[in-house]
Amino acid sequence: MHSFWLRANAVLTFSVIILAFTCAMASVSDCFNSPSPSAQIQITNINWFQKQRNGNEEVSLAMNITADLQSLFTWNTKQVFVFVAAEYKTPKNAVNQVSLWDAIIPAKEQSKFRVQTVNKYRFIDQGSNLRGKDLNLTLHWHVMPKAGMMFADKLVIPGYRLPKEYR
Amino acid sequence: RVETPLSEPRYLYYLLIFLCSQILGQFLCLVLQVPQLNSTREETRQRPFFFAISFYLRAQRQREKRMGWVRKTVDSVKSLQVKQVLLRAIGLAMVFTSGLILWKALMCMTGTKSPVVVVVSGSMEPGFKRGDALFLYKNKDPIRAGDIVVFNVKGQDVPIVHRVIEVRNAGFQQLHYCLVGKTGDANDMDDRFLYARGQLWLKPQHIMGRAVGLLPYVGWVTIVMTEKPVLQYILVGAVGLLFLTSKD
Repeated sequence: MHSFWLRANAVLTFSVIILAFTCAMASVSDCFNSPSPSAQIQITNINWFQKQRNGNEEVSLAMNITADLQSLFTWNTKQVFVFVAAEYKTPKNAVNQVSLWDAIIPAKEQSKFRVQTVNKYRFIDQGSNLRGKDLNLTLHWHVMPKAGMMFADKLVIPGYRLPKEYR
Repeated sequence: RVETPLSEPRYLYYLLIFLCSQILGQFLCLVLQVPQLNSTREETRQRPFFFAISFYLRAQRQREKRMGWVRKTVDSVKSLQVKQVLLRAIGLAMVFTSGLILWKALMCMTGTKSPVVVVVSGSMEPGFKRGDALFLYKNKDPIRAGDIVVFNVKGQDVPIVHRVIEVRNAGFQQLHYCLVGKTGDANDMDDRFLYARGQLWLKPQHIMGRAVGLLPYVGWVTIVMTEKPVLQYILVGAVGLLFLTSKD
């Protein structure tokens, strides 16, 4: 029980167990954080709204996104991934979720922000169902930890409507 | 195909094999440890050897300073008895089967074929760096936009970790998800160029699971051993040798 290798083995096993326990405790500490984020999204302009040759409609919008996500950050947070998705229903698809814009917030200081942007990803429908369509713009956030479980939640902002004619 | 863990007969077979192997292992250990009939003669034979052994050890210590530990290991391997080796081998096999069953149980609980994956590419930086281990989970909940999924493309054996940016669900009952992931948080392009020819969407059968947890840096062991396979053999050989030749 006194050879070098046995001692090294014991030390290594013990340190691995302690590290795993520390990571688990770090993750558990995240449960005690009760976040209260707030956000607002405004569609300032529909830049264009066209039907492509293959029958799918495409929209380009400009948005104003204001959010305060400071309460999501804990000591175990590596970054917060935030994105805005447009959600709507069509006769063909019960659920449509299209991500329009996303950003990575690496630190608490940058989590209170105001952004004016055009949609980063193309908003293309499967078909032509978007005229006059009611949308929900949802702000999702994924809290990615340094070690442990990831949390995700969202804020649904209903009440947007696309124009009835092409522009 | 939706898996129903714990009620599938396959998992009961694994559990049965595990229990049988544990019982067999314990029985064999008991049988091998039963003292032999001429044990008293062995004890009386050891005493005259006592002085010889002490001289031998002193000479050996001097030899060790010149020849090092390789010679010591070879000597200890030669001095092993068959019974000891067998006992050790059975103990090792029992540990091995316990580990295997633990892995299968983890597969059962998380609903995926590989509950832990290692991030190999840097496409998800800064969230997931190369060498991080991800814990996957799969259940009947539908995949939604923003989920980090690990999926397999036909014809490639390395699964890919990306984030979903578009979800289309055709029909309420069909559970027919079509999604497209962006090429990691570091890029802004959709990853359709990675799919099989003619494939535009990911369906539920391509998805291995959703990433729910993260452990940094532990995946480096797997990455190093995969990229230099010779290290695997060295590690297994060294561990086996140490286990078989240790004093207790």
